[in-house]
Amino acid sequence: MLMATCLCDTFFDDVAVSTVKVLRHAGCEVDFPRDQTCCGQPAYTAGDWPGFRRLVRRLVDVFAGDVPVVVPSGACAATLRHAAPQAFRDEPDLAAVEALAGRTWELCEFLVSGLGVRQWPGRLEARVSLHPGCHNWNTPVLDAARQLLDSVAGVERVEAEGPAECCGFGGVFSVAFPHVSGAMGRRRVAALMTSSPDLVVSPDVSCLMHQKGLARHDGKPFPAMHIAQLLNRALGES
Amino acid sequence: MADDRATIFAGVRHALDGRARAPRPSLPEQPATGRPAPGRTGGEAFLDSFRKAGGVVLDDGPSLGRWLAEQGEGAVYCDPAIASALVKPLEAAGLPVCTLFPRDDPDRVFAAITPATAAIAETGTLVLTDGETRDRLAAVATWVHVAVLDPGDVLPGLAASLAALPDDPNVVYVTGPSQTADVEGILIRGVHGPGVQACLPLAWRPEGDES
Amino acid sequence: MSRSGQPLDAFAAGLSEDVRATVADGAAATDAARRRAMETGGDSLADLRDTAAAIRQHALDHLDTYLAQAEASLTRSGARVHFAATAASAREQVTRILQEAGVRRLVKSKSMVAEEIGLAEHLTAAGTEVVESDLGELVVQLDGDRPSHIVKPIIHRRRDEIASTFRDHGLGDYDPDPESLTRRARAHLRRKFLAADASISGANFVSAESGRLVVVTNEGNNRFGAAAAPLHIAVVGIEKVVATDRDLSVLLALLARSATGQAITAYTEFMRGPRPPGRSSGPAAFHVVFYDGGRSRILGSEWREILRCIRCGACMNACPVYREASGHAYGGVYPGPVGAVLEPLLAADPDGYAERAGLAYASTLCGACGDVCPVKIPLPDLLVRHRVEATARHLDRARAGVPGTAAFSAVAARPGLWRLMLSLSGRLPAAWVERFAVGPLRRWLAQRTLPRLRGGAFRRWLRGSGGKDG
Repeated sequence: MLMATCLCDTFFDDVAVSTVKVLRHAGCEVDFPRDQTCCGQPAYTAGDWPGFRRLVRRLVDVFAGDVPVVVPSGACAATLRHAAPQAFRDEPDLAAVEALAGRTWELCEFLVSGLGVRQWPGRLEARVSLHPGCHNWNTPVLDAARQLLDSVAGVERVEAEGPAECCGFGGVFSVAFPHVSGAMGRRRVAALMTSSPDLVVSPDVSCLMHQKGLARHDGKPFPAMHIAQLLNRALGES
Repeated sequence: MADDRATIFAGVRHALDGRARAPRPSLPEQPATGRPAPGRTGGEAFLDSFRKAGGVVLDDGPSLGRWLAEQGEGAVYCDPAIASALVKPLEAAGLPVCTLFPRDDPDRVFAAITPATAAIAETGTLVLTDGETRDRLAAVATWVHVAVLDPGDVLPGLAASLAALPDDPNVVYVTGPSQTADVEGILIRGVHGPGVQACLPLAWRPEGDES
Repeated sequence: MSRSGQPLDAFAAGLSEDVRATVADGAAATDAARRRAMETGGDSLADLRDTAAAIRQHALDHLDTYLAQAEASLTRSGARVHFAATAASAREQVTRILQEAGVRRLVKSKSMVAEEIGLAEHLTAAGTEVVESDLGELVVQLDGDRPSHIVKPIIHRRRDEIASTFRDHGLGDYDPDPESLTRRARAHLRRKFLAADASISGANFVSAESGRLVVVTNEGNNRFGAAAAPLHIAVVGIEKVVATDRDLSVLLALLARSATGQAITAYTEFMRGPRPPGRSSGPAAFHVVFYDGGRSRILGSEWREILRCIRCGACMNACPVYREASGHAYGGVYPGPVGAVLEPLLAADPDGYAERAGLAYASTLCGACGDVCPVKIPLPDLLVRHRVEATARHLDRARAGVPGTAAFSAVAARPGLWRLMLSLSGRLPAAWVERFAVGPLRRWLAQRTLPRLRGGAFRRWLRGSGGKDG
């Protein structure tokens, strides 16, 4: 089952479309439960746990069953795996939430660890800079993303300047701390663009929305796309 | 205050009341990076790490005298426990020696030589104690400090050293010279304590002394 | 800056580029040194963090036992042990000890507890000469400034400013060379050490088994202070206790690597009582003041893991918000992620909590702090728990500038309404949104361009592509 994320539903239909095409190419039948909305991360990080639990309980219903739930976002996956069990620590339905978390996958991780993809087919001539996305640190997601990128013929991965840092989005953080958030984002955009890559990719579209928004506002080039779009493009799809 | 003590213990007990308590973890034998390089003894490994920490290694009494004479001007303080072995070579190098630290005029003395109780190979650390240091002020207030270390007193790592700390009100691990990086992260040696930390391997304890 | 925003953001916006860059470079360099030091240790050091966390958690879970044991061990070795439940009590007891000994001049090494209780200011106001002996602390003391980092108090200062400070306070002509600055501090403080009637320190750890207080410095200032003065007082948080001396080998190895990237700090001192008979240096009287100041309350709260903290500063060095805003932006004693967790908890009254809890929002929850913590405190989770508290208690001040998520959640909880909103939004030109945006969205768009609204587009495509539902 595909969890498309609220951002893709609202802004980034092209990312969701690419995700479906990539999954279908990998041999999956994609089911999109129409009653899905949002994983609840905004409520979780803002501190509204009753609201968060309401949304997670909906997810448990909407994604009922035993097939894998795949989401093209490390942040949304982490919301289910890390955040939800904390918010349900003292709730009677903790087990149901943990069960859903246990079969939720981020897209890259699902392709590599779930389906065993070692080599992504097709070709794309591009120098690519990867923005890891903070939720993917110390998770298999980042390794999977690197492995997939490195396996695409023609893709050359270039390093950003300095250690990878948070870009300062942080959901509600970017609203409550506009100065710090903007400054962090501009620094991150500059670091990612140091090696003049053809593309900047990330397993998380939220980071890219923030970075792209800043770069466009400043009139700076920032050729960013979600990793699903890159994989799809390698297949020769638009 | 007595009331404060009761209040604090009551608060702590209240906080812990009915809670699951974490068990004691088992500790690794040699936790950090303390294994000597292949082919090096404990003593050699100590001198390697001591040098890496910024220390200077001296060979013997005469070379200590010659080296000290180049380090500064003034007198040298020598701890009474090791004076018998070292006063001669120091005086031969033209250095005035005292065995009582002149607290009222400390700048008269530029170097102090005191015994080390032990050393730690893993970190290049000298272990100094009140029990075997007649005047701990001398060991910290002079520009040059020379610790005289019996090569038999080298321990492999922090774990071994901490498992058997001497029964002493004051034990100090000295690893390299006094230093700071407070100003723009730039490393400067010799802030309050010695700017030069040296070690002279020498069996200084009287024979038959097993302490 | 918006009036409804967070004070930390306003502070950061007003920070000079010089200070920002000095802080950011200093923190990044130390973080890089930490990473190198941890990597050279291989897997054993990474595993050691689990052991360190367990050592600290075990000690805290048995604090009633170990605190009493530490008291007994210290008493046996001739130390005088005192307890202070509050900051006022701690200040009062230290003052009394000093008065009874007729102390007029003292030197003090760095102690976060002393900062917490405002000890130096209190003693100075009472007529005692208090000299900070850590180089960085000396600079902020001379300037009437405040430390901005718990390990590197003057991470925000440049050499030329320090040179001016020294010139203005009679420590020599203007000379910004770091070596000259250090030599001047040495000459100045030597006289102070030798003239002091007492020395004051904190402690990094206390071993219950032996009563030893561990005090680490690189400068050797505590060693000098306690060697020269006849009286020593250590002011120590009750949470610093660990079970055995042996536990310290794990904690010391991680403390130095996490704080500065060293394998061990230059001076690691184990103190537990007055000097032995027949010695002329070292304190003849040795006092320990165990300070609670809210710690026992925290121990019973859902933030108890924060008490594992060993004050290495790694979380602030790694934190991109700290680097952007500087330590002063946090407005308290403890900056950075640990400060954002601890400061609201240390506030003794509920108003203080409300005032400080906004710090918990000063994080993107990127996780860098938790990743570097040598005792594995789940800092991002603890920050979120403050946010939950602030939201449940409607602490508007703490939530200043934080957008409410209730309306969004309400729509997201109703799939029919969600789809309706999607299709409506899909018909809105982005230019209109940017033009008519209000509240949080307006602030967000002040420096960003909104992506094109494409509500419902994916679902339409999916229906057309033969996908199930949509």
